Amino acid sequence: LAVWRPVADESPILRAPGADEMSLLELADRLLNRGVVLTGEATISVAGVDLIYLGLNVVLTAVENLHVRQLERP
Amino acid sequence: VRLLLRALTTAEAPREAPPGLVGVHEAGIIAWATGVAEPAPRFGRDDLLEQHQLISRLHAQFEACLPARFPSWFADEHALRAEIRGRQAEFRTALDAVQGRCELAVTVLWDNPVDPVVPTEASAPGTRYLRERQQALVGSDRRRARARELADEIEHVAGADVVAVRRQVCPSAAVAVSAALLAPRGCADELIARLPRARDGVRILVNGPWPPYTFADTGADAGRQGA
Repeated sequence: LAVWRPVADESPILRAPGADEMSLLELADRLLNRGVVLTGEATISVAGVDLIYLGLNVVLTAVENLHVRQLERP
Repeated sequence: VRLLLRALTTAEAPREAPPGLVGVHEAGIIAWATGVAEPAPRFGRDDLLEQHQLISRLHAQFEACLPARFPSWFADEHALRAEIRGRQAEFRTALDAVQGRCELAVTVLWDNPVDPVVPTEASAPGTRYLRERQQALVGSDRRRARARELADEIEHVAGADVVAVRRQVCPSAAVAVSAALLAPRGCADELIARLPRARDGVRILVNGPWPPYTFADTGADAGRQGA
């Protein structure tokens, strides 16, 4: 997945993401945030998913949801 | 071997399992999964892309395909069967809702994610701060109103071909609208061609057809998410 990283002297919110980056982020958002939820043995274990980037709320929301759901598990 | 669930489909005419996938049949539903021996795998971007590829393959093969949220694990086949048996009515309803349909992702991006701040003439720092803050708030309201107009226009252009729409207005500084359109598979190409690609101050990206990720939730899922 493409990661939207700011260039060195640029604030993350000042650069519009490219079309390819945005498409991949939208897709990542769907894979992590949507889809049917089944209660498996360990639904969430994505600490290794390399989605860490700055500036786009869609995937940040996905990561936040993962943390919340992790905390909700007994 | 644990199972990483990919998607649920209806049990249609007998088919060969797609390569690399195990089909667990239960209550007229097939759960497609991948066996993973590694006890604690760490997922990366390639795993996400693989998830999309596998679900897309299933979506192409089956009329009704319900993508599973990534990553959904099961200890074994028995655990997966028990989950399906217990929620079969719910899954059937969700499968019916996406049968023969696909998702188009429409993303409207601002050409300039941030409004330029016009320097004010106020000499006192406090007054200057408040005026700049006021500018930012007015700009934010204006953008939100414009984003709603754009979302309405997209829905209008999509018209009756679209079965359902879910949209977010201004989900981030760069994005004016993030919308998901659920449409019959047969209409997708024509719909993609019809949607606009640009308007004043924005670019419009259309992706898909994708499996119906956004529309795969069930009533029970919505309750869980709202918790």
